[in-house]
Amino acid sequence: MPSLKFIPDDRLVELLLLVPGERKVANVQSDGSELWEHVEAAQPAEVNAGLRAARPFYSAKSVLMPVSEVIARYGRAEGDPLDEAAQATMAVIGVRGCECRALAYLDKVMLDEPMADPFYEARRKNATIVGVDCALAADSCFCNLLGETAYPEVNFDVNLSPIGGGLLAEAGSEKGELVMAEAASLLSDATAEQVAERDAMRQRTAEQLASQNADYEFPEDFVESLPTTLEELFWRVELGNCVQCGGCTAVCPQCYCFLMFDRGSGEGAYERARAWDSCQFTGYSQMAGPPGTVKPDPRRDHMSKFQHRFAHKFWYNPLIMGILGCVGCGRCADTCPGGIDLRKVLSQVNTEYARHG
Amino acid sequence: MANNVYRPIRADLLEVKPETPTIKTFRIAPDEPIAFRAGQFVQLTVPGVGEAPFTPSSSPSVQEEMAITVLRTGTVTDVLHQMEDGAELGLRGPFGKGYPTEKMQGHNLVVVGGGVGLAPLRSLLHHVFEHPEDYGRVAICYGARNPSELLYKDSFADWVSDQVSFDVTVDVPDETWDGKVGVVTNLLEDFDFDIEKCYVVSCGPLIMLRFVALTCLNVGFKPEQIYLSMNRKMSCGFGKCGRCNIGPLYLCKDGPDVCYDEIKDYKDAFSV
Ligand SMILES: Cc1cc2nc3c(=O)[nH]c(=O)nc-3n(C[C@H](O)[C@H](O)[C@H](O)COP(=O)(O)OP(=O)(O)OC[C@H]3O[C@@H](n4cnc5c(N)ncnc54)[C@H](O)[C@@H]3O)c2cc1C
Ligand code: SF4
Ligand code: SF4
Ligand code: FES
Repeated sequence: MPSLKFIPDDRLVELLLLVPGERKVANVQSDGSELWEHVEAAQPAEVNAGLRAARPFYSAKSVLMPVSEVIARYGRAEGDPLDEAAQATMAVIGVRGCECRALAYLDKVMLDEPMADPFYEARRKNATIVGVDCALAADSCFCNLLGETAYPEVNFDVNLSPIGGGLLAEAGSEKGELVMAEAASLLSDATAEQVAERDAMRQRTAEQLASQNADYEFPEDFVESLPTTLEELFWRVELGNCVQCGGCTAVCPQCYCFLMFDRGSGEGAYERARAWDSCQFTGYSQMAGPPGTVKPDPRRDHMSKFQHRFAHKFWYNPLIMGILGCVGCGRCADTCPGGIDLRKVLSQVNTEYARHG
Repeated sequence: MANNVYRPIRADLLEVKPETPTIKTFRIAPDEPIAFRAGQFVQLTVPGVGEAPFTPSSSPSVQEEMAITVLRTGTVTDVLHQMEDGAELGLRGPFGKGYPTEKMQGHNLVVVGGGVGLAPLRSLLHHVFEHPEDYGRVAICYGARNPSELLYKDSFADWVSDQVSFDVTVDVPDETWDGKVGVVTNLLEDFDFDIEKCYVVSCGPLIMLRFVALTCLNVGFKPEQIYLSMNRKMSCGFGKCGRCNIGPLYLCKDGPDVCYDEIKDYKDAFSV
């Protein structure tokens, strides 16, 4: 396997600094907590530890789609924020397999017809993605139940596989080939033992996932099963634990909803900004109308908001683009103050569907 | 410089015409012409206040300016209603698919409006009046809560011809009213033309749309023949911000006019 190269732990940061991008951000482990940090600002050991840890709580989405940003200026306001976005380049380091797949989904939404979101398009084009295998799965991870692997298969420029003493590096695009060529002096060809070690590491993670998710069983066809269960009692039990905080959609690598708003920025000058929004919030689809009147808001009751997250991800999205709106990363379960775990909900869909179907 | 679709095109407010106590028509000229199809919508910016989606009520064949008929109902529309000729606005668009006018060619049309919902339909009517040979008979059915809320009263007589009929009703009459009383669906019960080669197009309050669909089904229309202008809160206008869906359809890009057949199975279509 000539394209697999070995990079020793003590040269890793040198390699990462060769990845193109004015900003190079990696998910690092510092004092036992994780954060997206500039590679230059972090200790090499923290960067390395970040690549060996389970997937981060905040996905690469939070880097490619900021929580809030100015998207236009008008009136007397000068300058276009898009020009800045179009020029900024960055390296995103430590993107897990699930997040790389999530990018395929975000690309579909953000780049497809009728026209692309110009900010996402610019950032995506100017970003170099350095993926990483999960040497460890988080307790809540369930990518295996969706038939996926715990290492990047798509949408990476370079991928790293942690093994003893260093990492194996592999290019996934022309951009990645260039990085590898430039870093040639840091790299050596992977030996057969190192490749075997990587395969064993991948196998261990797969076994960890199989074992921690052994009690869950998902329906074969969500589009068929999910809609038939919407009246079942288990939904009401789960709903009782939801406080509508919107945490689940915020940490999800595939949830992309935002709300736009305008504000003054000087005499006759205005700016338009956007911020993440959540389908779980009451204002999300609230309609106009005089105060005190009943407005025709869709999904007015809590249950229909709650079920909408599942319906969009497992029912509508397969109809729209043929893929699920979930990659099985488990982040929503980690964040939920009500302990709502998608694995449990979807297994109940399966049970009820089997009972009635 | 890259093209930023989030930035509004500057536009001049040319004229404000009061239609009813709560509805005004705004004639607006954008700095760059905006070519729209009947039924496509624009995002109108009131500078510093925000945007709201509106479907032009003027003819799609005129690109230099457009008319937008607006019900006063909240933040953006309140400020808009206080604006005067010469004010500065912004426009983005057009968005959405617009009415399927190609598909409708050679067919009879039943056009059902409720309240301010006649506004978007007027752009379709303009289009049909400009291409009479493309369509069969046209029945316009219009309803409002009371006579003072009827839009475009001056135009009703001009619309009627051998090809076009116009029928109007109000829920609550007053002393000036000697016309029909009752809900607009009462006007849908009998037509003196072939309803098999016909499309129904309707815009109005959600609850009305639901009853228009049910009445039409009762009368013998098939779900595929019924097009409804579905309203949702919108932000981006082109399928990115996520909020405007009915099931798998995003109204800003797949609508806002959608075939009843495509939405009837989704609970969130008419849920109030
Ligand atoms: C495709 C489309 C075409 C429309 N055409 C017309 C028209 O021709 N004439 C007309 O009077 N009205 C029309 N509407 C409804 C109009 O957009 C709302 O009345 C308007 O957004 C209210 O804004 P507001 O800021 O005054 O109200 P607020 O209640 O203060 O609105 C707050 C926010 O919610 C959004 N919002 C609230 N209700 C709606 C709604 N029904 N649809 C979309 N966004 C909403 C607004 O954009 C705003 O961001 C249309 C709506 C859509 C979706
Ligand atoms: S994180 Fe949990 S409590 Fe919060 S909105 Fe999501 S499901 Fe509800
Ligand atoms: S829905 Fe939950 S498990 Fe699925 S991708 Fe989003 S955060 Fe991860
Ligand atoms: S308005 Fe943003 S997705 Fe439809």
